[in-house]
Amino acid sequence: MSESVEISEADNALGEQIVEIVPQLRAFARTFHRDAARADDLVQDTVLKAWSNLEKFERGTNLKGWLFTILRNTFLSERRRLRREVEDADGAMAARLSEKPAQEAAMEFLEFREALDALPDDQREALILVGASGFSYEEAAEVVGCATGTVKSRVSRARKRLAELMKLSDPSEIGSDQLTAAAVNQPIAVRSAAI
Amino acid sequence: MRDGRPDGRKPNENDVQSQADKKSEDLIGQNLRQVYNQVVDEPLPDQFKALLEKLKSEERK
Repeated sequence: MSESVEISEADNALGEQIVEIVPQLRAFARTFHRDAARADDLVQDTVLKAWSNLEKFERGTNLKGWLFTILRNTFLSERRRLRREVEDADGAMAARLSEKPAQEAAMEFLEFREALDALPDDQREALILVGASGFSYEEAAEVVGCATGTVKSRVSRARKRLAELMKLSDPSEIGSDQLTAAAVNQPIAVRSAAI
Repeated sequence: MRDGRPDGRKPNENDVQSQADKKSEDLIGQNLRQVYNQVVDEPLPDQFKALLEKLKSEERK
């Protein structure tokens, strides 16, 4: 992977490299939380876990992949814990856990972000890992803990679904000149309507 | 009667669709990287600066 970080120096170098990856961890965390503060809390937990487990990192391997995996596992653990609490709390907490403030999100995020959010979690995660974070399909599969073919399939379905959501899939409706306009103008119109 | 294409081939629906698919994929890729890089390029919030300083100082001990 082009952006992989190889550990070849002393421990303090490892710490420096973790610091360098924090911005990318923040971006990846938005895959799981729309709310920036919650996403940052997730990153903070991830960094603390990584720091306290540095001895478990296998030097010479992919530090970025290791950190992304910790972040993902931290999120999943927290989600499992919260789900148990929801089940115990007569569903009252479920509403609070719901991260679907549709109108706020429409104003806060770009239309593309909304379409991205509309994807199933596993597809969005695979697409971000491969399409934005710089991981290969094989590396993304390691982070997610599934087969490479599964990641490829999820990415493919995600792209197809995004194209549908952004109305980019029909060549008879979208010519070459209209393609960009469809992505740029339509979101503005939709957002204006939402406001 | 030819349809006027330089290669003399009739327009192929598959060609048109695959061209649209490619452009769609490119556009999605651009938007995806923009969404991601928007966060990557943000200044690091103070909570991280404080945390990272703390960890680094502990590391030096």
